[in-house]
Amino acid sequence: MNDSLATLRRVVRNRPSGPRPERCEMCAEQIAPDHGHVVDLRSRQLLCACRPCYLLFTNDEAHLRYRAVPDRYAYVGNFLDERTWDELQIPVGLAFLFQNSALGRMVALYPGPAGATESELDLPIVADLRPDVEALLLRRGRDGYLVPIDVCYELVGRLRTLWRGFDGGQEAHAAVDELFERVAARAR
Amino acid sequence: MSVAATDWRESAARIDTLLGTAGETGEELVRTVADLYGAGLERMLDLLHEQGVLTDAALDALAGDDLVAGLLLVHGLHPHDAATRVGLAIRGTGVELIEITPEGVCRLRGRRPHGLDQLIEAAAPEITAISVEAPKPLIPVSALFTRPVSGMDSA
Repeated sequence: MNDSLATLRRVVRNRPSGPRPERCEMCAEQIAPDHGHVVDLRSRQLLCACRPCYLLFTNDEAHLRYRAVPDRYAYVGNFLDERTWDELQIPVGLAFLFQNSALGRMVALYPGPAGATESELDLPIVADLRPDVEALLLRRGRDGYLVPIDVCYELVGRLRTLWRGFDGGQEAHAAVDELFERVAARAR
Repeated sequence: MSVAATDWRESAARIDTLLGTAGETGEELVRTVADLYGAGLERMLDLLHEQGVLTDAALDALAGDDLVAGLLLVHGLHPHDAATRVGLAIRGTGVELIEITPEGVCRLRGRRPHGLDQLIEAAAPEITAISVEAPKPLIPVSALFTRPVSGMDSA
């Protein structure tokens, strides 16, 4: 038997031990687990970024395709009144709001089994919120926080895997509570 | 354009050359792409198996093709077990297979032929070590020093 595939066998077999290191999605440099993110304003995708790439996109005024997600947390209280919640027609009592600079308006999203769903309601723009990269994460009748938008995407991603039934089920609720505790700790 | 049947060895050699200069990222890329294709091969075999068409004849045909068998080996999907593959590979080399231990040690008996390690590695990459024991003498040495016991004497 010939052995022209020896290299391929070696590469497939010799795996670096431990989890695969994450890489910057802009320059492919290796990055630590607690790296920053940038938002691609065209696709609304989050990209993992190394520090140097992240810093390229921190200027809010720059008209660039990417924008760095800041690290700001703040308590905003019970931000929306009951009437607005009703009008939002959000079934789960959990939503996040952010300003979409491409659309020039606020967007309200809520998590569900298929990811995030957008609610069709015109909300006044929240001036203090950095467009595209910060969001208000709100629980109906309870509390709300200003958070980096990657926190919201992380929550949507987690809930998608845990979601059971109409309102998400126990595990999904536990995940939400756990996240709000973490956010509350950061906002202090 | 597909790789012509005779050209695949060249492609394999080219991977070798390119990987030499590609560094760690290159290696990771090759590994990731290979994993993807490996998953595809596995799924294909599963589907064929579910359809009931993976007959012994079909499996032998796959195992008999150098390229297909080689790629199946890369992904640990070869239909024949290691002992069968080693047995075929060492045919005519003057060594015989004693066993393959659960730890993956390939125990052979005979005179170690040149290039044995590569031969075994290519046929059974899962082998972790090779041990070659001296050929058995025709008459065990110990037999020369024992007197034949005759049961009749004491009777």
